Amino acid sequence: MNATSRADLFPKLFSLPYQLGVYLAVNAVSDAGLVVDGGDCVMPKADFIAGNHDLRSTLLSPYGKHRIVCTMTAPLPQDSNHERKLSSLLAEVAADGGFSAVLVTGLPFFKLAGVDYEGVAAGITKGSPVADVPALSLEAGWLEGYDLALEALVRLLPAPRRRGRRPGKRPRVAVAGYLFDRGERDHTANLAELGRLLALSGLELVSVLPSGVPFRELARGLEADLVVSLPYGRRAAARLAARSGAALLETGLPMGLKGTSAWLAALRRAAGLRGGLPAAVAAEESMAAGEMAPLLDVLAHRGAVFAGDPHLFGAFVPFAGELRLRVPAAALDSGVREKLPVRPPQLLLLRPDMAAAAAAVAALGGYDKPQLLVGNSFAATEGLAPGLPFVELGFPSYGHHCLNDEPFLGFSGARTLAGRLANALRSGNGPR
Amino acid sequence: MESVVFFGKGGVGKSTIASNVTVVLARGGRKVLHVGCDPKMDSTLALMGRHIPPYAGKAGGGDRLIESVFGSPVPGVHCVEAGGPEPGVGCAGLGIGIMLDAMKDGGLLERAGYGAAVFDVLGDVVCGGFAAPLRRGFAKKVVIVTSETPLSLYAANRLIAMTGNYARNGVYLAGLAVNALRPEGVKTAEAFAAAVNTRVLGATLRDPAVAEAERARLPAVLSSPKSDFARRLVKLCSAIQAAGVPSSPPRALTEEEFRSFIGGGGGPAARPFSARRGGVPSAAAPGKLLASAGFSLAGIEGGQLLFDWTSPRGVFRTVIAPAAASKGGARGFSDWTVCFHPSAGPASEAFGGELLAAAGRLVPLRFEEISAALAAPGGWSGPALRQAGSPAGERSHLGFGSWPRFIFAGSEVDALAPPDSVMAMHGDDECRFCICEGGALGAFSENACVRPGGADMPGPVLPRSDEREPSTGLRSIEAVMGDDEKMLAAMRAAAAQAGPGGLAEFYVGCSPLLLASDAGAAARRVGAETGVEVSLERYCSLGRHSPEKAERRAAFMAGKFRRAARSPSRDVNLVYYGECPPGLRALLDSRGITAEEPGEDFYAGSAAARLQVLSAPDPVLQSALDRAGLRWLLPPAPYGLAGTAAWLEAIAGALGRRGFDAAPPTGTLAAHARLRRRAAGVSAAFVLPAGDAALLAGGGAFRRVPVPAVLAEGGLGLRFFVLARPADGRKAAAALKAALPGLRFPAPVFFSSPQGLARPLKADRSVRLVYSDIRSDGRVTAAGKTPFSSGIFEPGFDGAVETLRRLLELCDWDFNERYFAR
Repeated sequence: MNATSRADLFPKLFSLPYQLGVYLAVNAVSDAGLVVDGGDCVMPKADFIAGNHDLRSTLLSPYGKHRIVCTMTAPLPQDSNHERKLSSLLAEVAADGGFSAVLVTGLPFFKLAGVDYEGVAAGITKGSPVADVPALSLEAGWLEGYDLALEALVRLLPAPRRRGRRPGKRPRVAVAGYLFDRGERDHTANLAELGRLLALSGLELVSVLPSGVPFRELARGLEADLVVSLPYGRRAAARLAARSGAALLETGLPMGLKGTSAWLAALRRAAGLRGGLPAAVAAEESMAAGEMAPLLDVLAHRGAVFAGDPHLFGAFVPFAGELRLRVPAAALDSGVREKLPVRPPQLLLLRPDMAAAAAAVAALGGYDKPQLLVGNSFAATEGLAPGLPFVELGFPSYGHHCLNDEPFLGFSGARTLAGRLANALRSGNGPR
Repeated sequence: MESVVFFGKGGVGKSTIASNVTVVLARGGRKVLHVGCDPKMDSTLALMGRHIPPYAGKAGGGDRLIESVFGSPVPGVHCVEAGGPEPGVGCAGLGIGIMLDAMKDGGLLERAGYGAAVFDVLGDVVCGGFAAPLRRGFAKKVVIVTSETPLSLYAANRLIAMTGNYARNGVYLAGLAVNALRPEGVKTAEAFAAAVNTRVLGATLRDPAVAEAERARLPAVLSSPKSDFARRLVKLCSAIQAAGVPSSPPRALTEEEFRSFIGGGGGPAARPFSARRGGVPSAAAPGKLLASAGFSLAGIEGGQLLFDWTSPRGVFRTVIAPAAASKGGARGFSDWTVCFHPSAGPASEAFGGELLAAAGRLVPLRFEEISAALAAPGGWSGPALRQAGSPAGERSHLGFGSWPRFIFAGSEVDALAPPDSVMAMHGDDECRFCICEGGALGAFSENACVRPGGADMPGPVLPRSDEREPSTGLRSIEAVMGDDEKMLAAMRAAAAQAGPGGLAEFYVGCSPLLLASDAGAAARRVGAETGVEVSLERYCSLGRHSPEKAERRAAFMAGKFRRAARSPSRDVNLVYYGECPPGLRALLDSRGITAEEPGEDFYAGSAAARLQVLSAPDPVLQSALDRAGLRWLLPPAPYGLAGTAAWLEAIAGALGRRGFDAAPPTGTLAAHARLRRRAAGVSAAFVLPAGDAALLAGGGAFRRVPVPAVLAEGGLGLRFFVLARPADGRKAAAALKAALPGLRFPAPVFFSSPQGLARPLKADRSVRLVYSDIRSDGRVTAAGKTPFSSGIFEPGFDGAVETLRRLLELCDWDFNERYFAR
């Protein structure tokens, strides 16, 4: 057997594990804690986020006050009653006082052993509230882990106050299921942009789940009249709406000029506001278009390979179309997908073997040959499109950090991202 | 909704009772779902008249579950079978759990309007997977089917214990359903029920009508409605429906009590017992008792509790273990035993009597209560958290919940995988992501130090990055249906990659281990097919050597060295020197010593040189070189002027060069002296717990760079801040002196708690640098100092000058003092 056939048996898949999604959700709530049932081999996963992707992460602490704790348990030697030990640890973490909410999950072998995390969590009645995140590593990937961890946090929110009628006031909106994968200024700028645009649209953004704020502040989401469900947290959004009785609207990401306006219009309709978007919104859109226009020729009729998560991909493709940028190929790091773009690329690979994906991209020829790589760090480090200018976007982004505002959503985000794409092409910043 | 789970020993008549109860419930007007939770898939046979396809192995959740639900010819009855793998492979418990999760997630019982659900679970509960029906909010009422035989009652006793474990979920034992072999057996079962504080809900007796019904694949209550069995079954069903939560929960007998019961003792008088009802037991009293007897928790080792026992003769490490798990030499108390830990040494034996006297004060406590003391409130670094989260082995530098070390201990010897070997990992995706470079603390990096220059800073890549370390990516379907094929294919591929005479190591991860995958048989089969020995290793031992593993590796490497043997054309080969050989090779070259250029073939490179110069102790490599007849040398690390000269001298000596000049060049000496003058008056500090002084002497700390010596050579002062009790100060100071012979430094500053470090650190104005293997260590920057690590140290004479220049640049840098000092 030669090396090629061996590679077929051991493909290095473009995929991220379930628990990494759980970690991302915990990372995004500043005072949440996570107990992971397993050995210390679970800890390096935090390093895929803290200090590498998110320079502002507090998951790990030089003072030892980590927000992720493991039980140091392995299949052998067997405990006579492992759940009792887990309960003790969980009780102590909950009683610590440093966390407003505590989640618990476990490595897959504990699921095989039938550990009842739901029951163990329910048995902790003192201190911070505790909820389980199902141990689904054998069945699901990082995006499901993120959603289910958010849903667990929503379960722990205190009972909602009665939402009174507010005649004459703006409808309150909670956005749930945002992928707040780091506390840097790409995401904080995104959230500021969404708040600004909702205000211009006659709506009040009361909460984004999650957004780096402490757990208790997330309870403001229960006061909303409308819960906007973003694709990274469908379950969490649905549970939030169910708990508060708010209306639920499922949307994609507000990316690009037309995409953002359509998103805002949908929110207004769902919130019961009549009429089209206010003139101020249209003016913002036009202004952004005017600023982007001079650079668009740089992007026109060029091809980009996308590599990253499917939800970002779903929003990026229409935006690329707005820029006249083609997306002839894409590799997605999760099997989760809601709907493909209207015009999917001719090469679309889900959780592909990276070597095979790189070969497929290299085989694109003629007018389909891409000139730009847009995607996460692994797209570059795995050589998906070597030599191409690279715009690092999505999780993880180990090579691009944001010390200044760099949104990619809303009108500001459209401007910023279009600028990054064009600058990369102009400067030819590859290969990495 | 009526929801009943039937448990019981295999062959006791559980499925017969359960399916007939289903019929009686349906006849009462309920729509009933009968759920078979047994990989034999025969629970629904009588109800369906045929085998039905099981749910096992289907993916896709709730919708696919509906496809597995079949309407029975019996009106009002629907059936579903969990199914499972063939006997002896896969995990049936997991399959049952997945089906029930799908049932719960999809809300099947509610959406389809069932009025009752009957769960018929495999004979004995062998793991948590079979208890899946008892998960919170799913099924609460448990009925244990038993006969009067000892084995059946023994199984029932264990099932009662299991039910107690799920009491927190509202689960309760409704009672026993007795399927007696003889009429008088009912009395035995009733006595057992009394002993465990439960009741007999009803009894059925052996009846030909049942055997006849089974042959006809019909429930007996339908085929022989007037039989004694049918009459008794109807009464049993009524009792089950009427059964509520008992006023006092049952209590399983201990092994001893059960033996006594079977032997005619009758067991203990029925007495209430506090079942697990959520939360953990109060820890205050056990904690106080332990403390008053001189026991303080020191750790957990293999499920046993380690305590430091303070006696008038000193402090001794002891082990308290459950009686069932105790080893020879331990003395029993209550349901636990106590003995000295091996680390207490032979001297401890003289104090055995005193230990037993102290342990005797703990007699009121059961082992469970002693364990519960772990949960005693104690703030963040409470004992349970500290001990549960304190990793052993190579990550011992990072105590979760406790104060991380500034100086990571590192590993004293290398345990690198031999070049050209294959290391395959059979595990899941979480396993695949158990390594990462860089990060907030850098605590899990292979190179745990900050290197200069962003481009060189290690960052994560998509694991596994090395194609010689692939992962099989175990998935749920393989866990349920068996992973033999995947494991076999992976081993064959690894063997093929290794080739004849090659070394293929196959690491079995936690999930396959739990599935009891027979990796040994697969390895033997692949060995027979390919002639390649696939050696099996357990999870988490990638970087560790067992004697057997070390021997295999050494033999493999020796063979490779021998096959690569040729006439040497170079003087030395620098082995595992990482990224710095160019400068060192140039240095050697300037002194007339030729060094092999690094190439693709590790073994050929070694064979091309007369002397192998190792960078670190590596017992496997050393043994392999010895066996192959290759000379090797482990010289001092080439850092600093003196260190580099010593390195050169050692190499020259091994090569037999006489009159060798190992002195630094004059220009280098002058440059170093100029920098040294600038260093006057500034110091670098080390922070360490008292017990860590030996780290400074060498070993694996500082990536084997002699950091204190290089600093001293550069003219920087050395300061030590030691976490120790004042009483231990003299001992700690002596340990420091012993670890750093020949170096001069003032008496260490002692601090008694992590919080107490900032003040003395900040107060010493001469201290500009603090060593820390943690990136941008907040404990250092908060004191206005600059952290540094061995990553900025460069080897060789030129490297010594560059290192000193970097250190002085850091000393001049006031960024942290200006912006982060608190």
